[in-house]
Amino acid sequence: MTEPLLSIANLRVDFHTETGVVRAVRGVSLDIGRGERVGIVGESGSGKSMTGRAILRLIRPPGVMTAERLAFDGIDLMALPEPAMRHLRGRRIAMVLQDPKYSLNPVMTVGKQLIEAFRTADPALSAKAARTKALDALTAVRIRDAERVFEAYPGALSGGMGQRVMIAMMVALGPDLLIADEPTSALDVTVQMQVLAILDDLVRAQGMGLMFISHDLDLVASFCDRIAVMYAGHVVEECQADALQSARHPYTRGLLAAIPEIDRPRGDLPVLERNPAWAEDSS
Amino acid sequence: MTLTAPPTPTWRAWLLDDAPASPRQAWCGRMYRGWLHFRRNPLAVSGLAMALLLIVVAAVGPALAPHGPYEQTLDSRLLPPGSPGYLLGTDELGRDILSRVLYGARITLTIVVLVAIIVAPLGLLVGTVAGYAGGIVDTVLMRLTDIFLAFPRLILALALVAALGPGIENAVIAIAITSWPPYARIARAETLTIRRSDFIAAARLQGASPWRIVFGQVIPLCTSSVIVRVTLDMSGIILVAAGLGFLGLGAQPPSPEWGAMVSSGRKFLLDQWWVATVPGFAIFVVSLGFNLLGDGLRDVLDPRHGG
Amino acid sequence: MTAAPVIAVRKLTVTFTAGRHVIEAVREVDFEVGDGEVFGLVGESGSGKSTVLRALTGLHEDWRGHLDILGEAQGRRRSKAFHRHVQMVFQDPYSSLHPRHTIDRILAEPLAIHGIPNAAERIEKALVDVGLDRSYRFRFPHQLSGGQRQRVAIARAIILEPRILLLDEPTSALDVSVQAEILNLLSRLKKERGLTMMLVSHNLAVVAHMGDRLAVMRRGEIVERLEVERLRRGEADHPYTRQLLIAAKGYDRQLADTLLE
Repeated sequence: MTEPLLSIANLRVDFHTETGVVRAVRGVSLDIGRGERVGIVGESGSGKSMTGRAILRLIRPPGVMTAERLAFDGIDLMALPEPAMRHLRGRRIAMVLQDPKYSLNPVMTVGKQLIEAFRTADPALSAKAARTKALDALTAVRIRDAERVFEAYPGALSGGMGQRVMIAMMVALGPDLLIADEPTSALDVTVQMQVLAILDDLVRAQGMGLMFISHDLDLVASFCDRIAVMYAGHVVEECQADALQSARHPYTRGLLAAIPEIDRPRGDLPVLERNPAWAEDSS
Repeated sequence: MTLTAPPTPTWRAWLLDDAPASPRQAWCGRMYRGWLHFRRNPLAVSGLAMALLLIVVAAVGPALAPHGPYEQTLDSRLLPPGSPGYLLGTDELGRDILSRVLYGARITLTIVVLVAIIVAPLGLLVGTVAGYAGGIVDTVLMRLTDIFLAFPRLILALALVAALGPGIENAVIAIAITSWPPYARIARAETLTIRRSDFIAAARLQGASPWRIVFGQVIPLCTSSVIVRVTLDMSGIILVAAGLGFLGLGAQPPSPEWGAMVSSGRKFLLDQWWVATVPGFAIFVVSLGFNLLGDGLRDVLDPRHGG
Repeated sequence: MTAAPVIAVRKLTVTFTAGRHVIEAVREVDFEVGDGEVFGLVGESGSGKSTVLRALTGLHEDWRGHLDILGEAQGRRRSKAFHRHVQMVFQDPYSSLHPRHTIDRILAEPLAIHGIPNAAERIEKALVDVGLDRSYRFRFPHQLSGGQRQRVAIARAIILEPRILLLDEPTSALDVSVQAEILNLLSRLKKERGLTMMLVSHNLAVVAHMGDRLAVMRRGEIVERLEVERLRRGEADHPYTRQLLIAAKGYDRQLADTLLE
């Protein structure tokens, strides 16, 4: 078996607050291979976003992260000095967030931001070459009038277009791993489809690993290869996406049952009864 | 910040109860949580201590004062601080400066309180009504506010005092009239963001009248920022009052108002520095105290803290 | 449909004025909701579905057309009786409750406005009705979870014992397990009180779960009206409804490709 692209063992994130320690992530272990789409599903507060941020070492105080192993392409991320980590972020591991509004600079045109990204990565790049690359990046996320979007300010873009630009920017430098935190949750279903198809293509064409964080079980099951279900900072269940319907853990089963379905006859929805034992530390 | 705790030893648990049993308990609990938050900021606590000191001195100062504020002893004029019987020295008429400063606290507190209770409600009302009503009401009220804002504060106060005659009451009126517009501005800006919220829409859907919404829903949310602003402005108010006193347009001699004291001490500044410095220091301490308190309150009262 | 409709909307056009431009957010929309029926309004953002609700409730005043609610033609201003009979639950339980009011005060407000006596008793009953313990009565909204807040918002809406409940994306800000609880609560209230409901949502499955009939909106117009039974069988006529149906089931590459073309 070859070395996975990302390998996490016993990842923990604790927040030290005035009322005590909040343990947001409690011993997550997970591997992501090249060209693999891994979905992290969970409800709010399950620690799924925190896991994504921890991989990029973006946990700020009072948060403290520890891990037995956090290895990316053979590099020990826990031991990596901050400048080297900064070099890795964006170039080799990129992140797409739910709302592009917070990730794009509102007072700079989309084109300028893309060019800047390319030229920071490669200072030798000429202005003209950077511009061509930027336009290509926009075309790669299926933006038809790339020239117009290039000149636009992020505020002038629709939600779906903004998210495409965001993805264009994030994958511009050809990262090996993309962490997408609820990338389509703010979008309409039809727009969501399009953004997913773009991500789908990028994974296939570039062999990129994708960590897809979402609250939407159906979406993750239909889009990803493998799924990790998180609850109270733990991965309670890990399975192949097509095997989700035969999930074992009562939490996963409860979540699945609680989703109303169009073709299922009506009646009260089964309510998820939470067992405190699920939240207990397994290790 | 004193709280009426029930006579059980577990008053802290009562205050921090997650499921209060009465509106009073809920309210006290919220205040207590705010206090716990406030307490962590040492500068704010020292500001509160200075403000409390002003109140205590205003209340019991006359009892503490070794001499009367107008008691002249002409053979012990301009004694330096530390002279026997005159801890902070005497002024040009042989009056004990310590006693005058202690008496003066009451005047300063009166000015501050009077201005605050005139200005804050007025600004709040004008701002929230303008912001919530919008349209022509907004335009008229805000242009009026602009007119008041356009005058330099001290000059307008000067003109008013000149017209009404010097004195503490007129100084208060002058300061109040010139300081409400910023409060109206703040309250209006907050109202504009609040009026679009769902809870206002919900209140309208219940059939609440605009007045009911302004008083019941909008004003309680604007109050905290206005309180913060008033506290921060207290020092400004004290300084304007002192300035008017200094110019001879506020409190009149022989009143022991701090600004007037600085003004009369000015003549001896080079040789008898303490005559002007002691009341000046009192103004400084109280202004600083209110500023620190205001900064601390801003952290606590910020609605995002839910405090 | 039985007897006279509780809500009848004819040629409703809702406009927004932005500077000199007048934008028609909703164009000539017609629908009827019968007594005790749950009517769903489905659409994506900007389809005008929430705008229809806001015009119905009188929150938005720039509209033309005919609005009959409980047999009365409605104008710009609504009567006090109207507000007693028509209540609404909003999408975001974090912004629909006053942050400085206790739950008690939030629930007492509608009673005070309509001069209804025995407030304390009614408040406790409303809390129990929505499945909240009495101990929540004097808490502040920030001490409650999203689902609990939404229950409070529902309690506030039903405390006046309205006949019509308008729901604007009532569960889209909630986790699925909490969504299930809220949907069950709404179904129970509907059964117990014979409420007529209008449910606006972008989520077809939620509307299919709760509703009897639905209308699909797109760019300010209703593109299709159908019974939920037919939706369940996948018998939608309009291509847009079909797209929504496929998209509701998850990622579908084929549909994505058609949309990208």
